[in-house]
Amino acid sequence: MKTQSTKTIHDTVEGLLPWYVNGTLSADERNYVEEHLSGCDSHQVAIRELRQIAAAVQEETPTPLVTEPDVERLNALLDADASTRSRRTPLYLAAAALTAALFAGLLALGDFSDRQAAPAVFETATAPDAGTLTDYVVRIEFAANVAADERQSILKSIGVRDAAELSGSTAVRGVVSLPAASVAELEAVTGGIEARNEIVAVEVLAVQLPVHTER
Amino acid sequence: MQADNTADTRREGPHTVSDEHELMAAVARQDRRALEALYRGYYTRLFRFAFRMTHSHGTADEIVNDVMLAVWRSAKSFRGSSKVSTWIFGIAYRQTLKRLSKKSLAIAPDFDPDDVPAAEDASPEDRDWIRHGVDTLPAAQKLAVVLVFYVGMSYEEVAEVTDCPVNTVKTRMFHARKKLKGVLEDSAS
Repeated sequence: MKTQSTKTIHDTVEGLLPWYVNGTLSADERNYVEEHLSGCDSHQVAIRELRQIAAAVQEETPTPLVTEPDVERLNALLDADASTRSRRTPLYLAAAALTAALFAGLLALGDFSDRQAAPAVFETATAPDAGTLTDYVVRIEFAANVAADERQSILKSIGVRDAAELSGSTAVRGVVSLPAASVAELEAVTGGIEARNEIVAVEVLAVQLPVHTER
Repeated sequence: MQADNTADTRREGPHTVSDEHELMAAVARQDRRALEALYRGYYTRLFRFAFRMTHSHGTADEIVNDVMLAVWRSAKSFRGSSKVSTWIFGIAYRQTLKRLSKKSLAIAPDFDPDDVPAAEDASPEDRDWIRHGVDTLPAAQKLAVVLVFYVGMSYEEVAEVTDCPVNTVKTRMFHARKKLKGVLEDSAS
């Protein structure tokens, strides 16, 4: 068996010292370190330093500072996450059927799943058109205090062409067609408007299929 | 009646390794009760780890929630080759590193260091200097020190959590010790 040089042993032990102090070395490693320590003053000093560091780091946070686990809040977080993810799901599924239903006038499909108090009626802000491969159908809900011209301005800023006026008693809801080159681009646009105070919710309903598939 | 694939999470106290693997399998099936059990089991450890790193009560709380949400979303990717605790602390490590890298997070203790109980083997003044020194370490070194001395991880576990070679972990600890030694020497002069 190859014998290790003193320097090699010293360097190997150097790397193991923190775990010698925290007690997670194997029995063989611990013996290896202890054999070396008995004749190495510098590592004995290092052990003392590491024990001081460990003691300082291990000092407990005062108990009252540790909040109790809040399962209710965790569940609210999971609900919010599920809601966010479900809003994106239709993009990846067969959304064509939903689009067809939408533009056939069956707009009263129900409200946002997490907003049961709102009426299940939506307005179409843009006239249904032939559509292209890159149009997405999006339902937008504005906060009630957003003025009409401000709503128009927001719709135009995200690329909605010729948006019709939306009306509503509490919040203002409408379905629009959004041009976007890709899902990522769409998510960037919807994420951007969702972050605005004027927008209560954004839901992607469908991908609008092209009428003409030949180019 | 609860579905058959729902984990039995009624047991109190720490979970065994096999319990935790079962819980993870249940979380992968989107069983909320299993996630709740993991949450209850890990909350204090994760909170203290995050608090030790950020010194912010609110940020530590947010990190724990972010970790549990990440566990919920990615439980399917847990293959069971490592301990559940190592996997969860790996997520906590990345979340904490992300927070620490944000300039907006200033190290602003929201507790009085004088309130903490005394430790052995070092004077209170030295311990204060050491804690101050740990806070000034680069994030990777600070996290290594906390994972080793506060969480009590082996070098293999730290390497797995931080996704680094073992030698990198050892080097970080070496440099951290050298810097903290310098801090103590400065405090004495």
